Amino acid sequence: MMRILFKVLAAAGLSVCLAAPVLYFLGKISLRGFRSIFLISSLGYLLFAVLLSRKPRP
Amino acid sequence: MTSKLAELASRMDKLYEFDREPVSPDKLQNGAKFAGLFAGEHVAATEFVIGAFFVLHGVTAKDILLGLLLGNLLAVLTWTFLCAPIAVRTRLTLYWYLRRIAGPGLTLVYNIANGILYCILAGAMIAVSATAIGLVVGVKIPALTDVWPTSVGWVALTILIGAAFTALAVLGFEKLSRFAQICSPWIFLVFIAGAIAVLPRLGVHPNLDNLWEVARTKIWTGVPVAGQEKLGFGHILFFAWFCNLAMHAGLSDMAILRYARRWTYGLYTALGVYPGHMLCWLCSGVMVAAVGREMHPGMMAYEAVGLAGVLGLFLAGWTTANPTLYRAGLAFQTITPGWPRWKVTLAAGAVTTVLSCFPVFFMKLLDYVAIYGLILMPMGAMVLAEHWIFPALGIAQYQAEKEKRLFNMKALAVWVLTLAACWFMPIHLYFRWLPGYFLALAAYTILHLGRRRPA
Repeated sequence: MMRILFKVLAAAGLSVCLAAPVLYFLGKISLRGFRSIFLISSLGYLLFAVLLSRKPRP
Repeated sequence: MTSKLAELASRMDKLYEFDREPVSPDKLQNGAKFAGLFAGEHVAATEFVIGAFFVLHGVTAKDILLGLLLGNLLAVLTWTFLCAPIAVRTRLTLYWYLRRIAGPGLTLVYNIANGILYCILAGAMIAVSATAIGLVVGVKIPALTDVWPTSVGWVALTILIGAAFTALAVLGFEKLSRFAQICSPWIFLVFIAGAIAVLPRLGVHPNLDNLWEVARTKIWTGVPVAGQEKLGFGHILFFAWFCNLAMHAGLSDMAILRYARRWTYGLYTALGVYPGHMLCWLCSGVMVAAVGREMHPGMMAYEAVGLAGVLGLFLAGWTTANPTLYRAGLAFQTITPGWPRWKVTLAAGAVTTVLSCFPVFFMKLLDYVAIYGLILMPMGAMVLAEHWIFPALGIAQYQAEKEKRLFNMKALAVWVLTLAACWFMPIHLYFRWLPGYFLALAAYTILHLGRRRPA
């Protein structure tokens, strides 16, 4: 169950990383907003992807 | 001397013992595995530099698009038609196949040359990461024309980062490899996000109606910066083609493709080179144009995506320097009797760290990539000759192995002759490998014509 959750959260992090610059380019968010969103979603992706890569306990 | 070499060669054999046997049919992998494996390749810290250099060298927008499209296609075809068929027929790594052809002594020399070249490449990756950290701590990075270390700050920074990368590689290569796989898709997104985010600064409208105009007049303008030579379509095409020369025409990727069910799996390399060696290079070109065409990867990444860009560049350097240090360590382990893996990695890391202080390896990265492929390419040509041409001409194969020779002197002569000929060729460095390849192929075959079997 937790693995599915980590997988979803990691995928969401990557998706936001892609969406944020597009939104900034279209003028929907500010430069500062884009950078903050990108940083937070990046850290989120890295965290959940690392948790996902850990071997499940037997 | 000969007995010493034989002892070194036998030690090297032990290191590679685990992949000595051809891959058995039950170990073959399907196409989906290869698609996944290649998709994550070719997104390294050096992509930040290569794409940016094309802008600095005054490439035009049309030349870069066509050059990268065709050059990468040629690279994929080289993997598919040269490397994959030999890998699938032999099911061996280049190391073991080369050993049969060139003899264990020459294979040892080849391995050490490869190790030194890996150290230089890892040094360039450390330098790229140093530009990211340098931005945070305020260290001035060297200029385009610098060869020697430019400041105490730069030397201290590269040594600190090199020491950290080496220490982490020593502590846990396996864990770092897993972390690198995790980082790979995100680092790719840093390139894409960075390029999209600087488009407004370059004046691109949200409806993209002037994208081509901006690309032509503000990014790939066709005008090189002062002191940089002008590159054109042919240079870009050849660069994209030879960028992984050691892997495709040089046959290093036999190690991977020997697990393929069919030789056509070589086509899956397109999933790696087009994102890495086309999209990432285009993106870094856009980013360098947005910082006024200044070669400063740290600044490019920061200006584009902020702190996440700095983190991305640092991680790109770290995760790609790590396997490079490992491979260098593996190559050097043969000449360090009894040393455990950690000690060899430490030594390779120390050499790499010292090299990373010298800006020449990072600022002349395009030329270094060309030289790297050029040095290893003749071996690939000789393997190709021995594998396909010798049977067709009735020449006995694997004479070095049959006669138990430590050195195939003809192979050594062809290697040296090809490199000497390439050195003196009156054409641009990027174009030399191709005539050099055919020269090695022809010379090696001609030298063996006397050994044709009677019909």
